[in-house]
Amino acid sequence: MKAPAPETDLLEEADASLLDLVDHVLNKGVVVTGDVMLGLAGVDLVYLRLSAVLCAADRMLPPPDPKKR
Amino acid sequence: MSPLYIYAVAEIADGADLGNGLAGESLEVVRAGPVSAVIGRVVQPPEPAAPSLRAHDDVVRRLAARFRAVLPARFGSMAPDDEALRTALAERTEEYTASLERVRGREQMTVRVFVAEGADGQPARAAEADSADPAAGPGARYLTARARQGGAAGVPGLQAMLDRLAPLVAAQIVERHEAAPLVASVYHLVERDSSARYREALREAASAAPQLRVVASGPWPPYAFASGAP
Repeated sequence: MKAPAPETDLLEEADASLLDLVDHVLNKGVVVTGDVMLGLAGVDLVYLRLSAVLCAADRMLPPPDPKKR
Repeated sequence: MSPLYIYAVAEIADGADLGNGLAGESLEVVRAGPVSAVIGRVVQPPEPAAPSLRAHDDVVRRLAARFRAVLPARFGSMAPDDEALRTALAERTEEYTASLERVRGREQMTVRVFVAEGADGQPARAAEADSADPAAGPGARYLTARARQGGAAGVPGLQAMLDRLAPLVAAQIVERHEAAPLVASVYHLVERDSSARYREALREAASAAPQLRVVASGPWPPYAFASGAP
């Protein structure tokens, strides 16, 4: 999977895979019976943290180079 | 009888070998008319931890690679027994059929949209200030501000970027986030095997919007398009 820019590579292959996984697998998807396990009561909290960590990851990245764009 | 752990709602050919689930259990199909659920009989639900999330996603991806119309189930979805699951499927046959039709032969790309560093990332705060009725409490101000920034409209440059991608996109969901610099998540349903073209188009579209930074991931099974119409 070739990503377009180095900073994109970094985020995708480091943190984004797990963060996206949490977003997609816990926060999306069809709920068939309404019986989602009780252990997932903290999912909203997990999702709030997802946004926070995504932002933290973003700040670790080098600033975009306008010449590349 | 063991409870059922649900992996997906799908159209499954008869006699298909589905492999194993995240506890090593054999996957089975529970049918209700035109729609089926792919399930595993488990002793207890999986822990909501990273390895289980990956395992759930792996099973869904395997099913999506094998069948053209698959709606991923949310992690942790259980049914007490076959009869309860059949009843639940039958109650919403129409909705599932429509969703299956929508995702058939397609996959999902996910784009996180950030306000680029140094850019004036003030749309959210500006909207909040606008609506700052001194008589309203912080909650009311927040809700008013939020109501004003639905969809792509509150992020300058985003709609233009989405317009450029539109030829490759079968369906779109835009979620706004409050936590700048992450301002939006965009979920796109695209034809299978078009993710390379999609990334190329996204790169071009993003270069026209230097105030935004975008990070794409995918292709994913169509998690965001699994229920209802956006």
